[in-house]
Amino acid sequence: MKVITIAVSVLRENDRIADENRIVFSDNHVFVVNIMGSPGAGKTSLLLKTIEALRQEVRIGVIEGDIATSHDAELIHATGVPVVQINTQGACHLDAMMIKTALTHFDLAEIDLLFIENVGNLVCPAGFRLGESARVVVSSVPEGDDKPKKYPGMFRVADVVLLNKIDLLDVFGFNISIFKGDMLQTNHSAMIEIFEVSCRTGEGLSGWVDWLKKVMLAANPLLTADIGSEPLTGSGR
Amino acid sequence: MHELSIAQSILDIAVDTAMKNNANKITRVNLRLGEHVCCNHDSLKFAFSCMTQGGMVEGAELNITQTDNDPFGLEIESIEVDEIDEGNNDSSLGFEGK
Repeated sequence: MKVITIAVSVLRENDRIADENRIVFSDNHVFVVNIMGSPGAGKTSLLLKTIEALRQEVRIGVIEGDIATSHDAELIHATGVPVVQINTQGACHLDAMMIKTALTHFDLAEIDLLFIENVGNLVCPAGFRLGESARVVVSSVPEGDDKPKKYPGMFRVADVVLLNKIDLLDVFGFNISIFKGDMLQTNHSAMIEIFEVSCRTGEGLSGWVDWLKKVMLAANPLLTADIGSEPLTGSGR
Repeated sequence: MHELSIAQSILDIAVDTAMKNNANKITRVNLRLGEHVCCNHDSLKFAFSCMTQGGMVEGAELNITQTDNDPFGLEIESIEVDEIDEGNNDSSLGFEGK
């Protein structure tokens, strides 16, 4: 009997394709946001609101990941933004190969900002890099304030956390300091941003939109002419 | 949730490595798993056992070690194989006699 030392990541193929995607995005100056979160957290609502806020300044594209149906893609399509639906046919997450395939349906030269809405799931998508520039986790008040503690994997990989449905805080007896405290215990990044928003009332969304503009400009200074060098603040979007 | 596809990836890498090393049979795969990899050990072993019911992987054992060093790591450390043709070893792959 012999032991053969391998020492390779089982997800190496995914990582390899994610790196390829990243190069394609970078060559085309596309900023890519991977949106993750539970079913019903408000990922699609956030997308619709963000498209509304940014579409005059930035050319947007969307990849929708769902286990079944094209329901979300139809909602996005109605805004006029180019959208590709990926049906994972039961798979619980998007992987880099699915994104690579979906990209063939876009003209990336015509897109500055690509949103990837992952499958609604607070577990598996955290483990699969897609080649994205930023990872956003949408959590919502009705899910409870214990989510960062119970799903540390997802909250650990986040660059930004949006706490949605903030208008329902009192109804659900949600304790924001518990949520934030556990969040900061889990995610040690000094850059982590938490925004409290309501996609229904629009509360707090300007902070998120301004952050997005800021990081997009940092990644691609060429955009300055389109969206202005100063982020907008509190303009009631 | 995706243990089946992870088991498939593990087998692909193991079989590929075994064949490159002229081994005829894989007896054991040693896997290192980080605490935050969303992968249930029992489910993964079950998926692995379902996929190792014939051929060069028949009856192969999946040995999982949890590691704290790399919370998101999912790495095949080594495989144990039988019947290597000693004349064609690729020493660059780090053989250890055992």
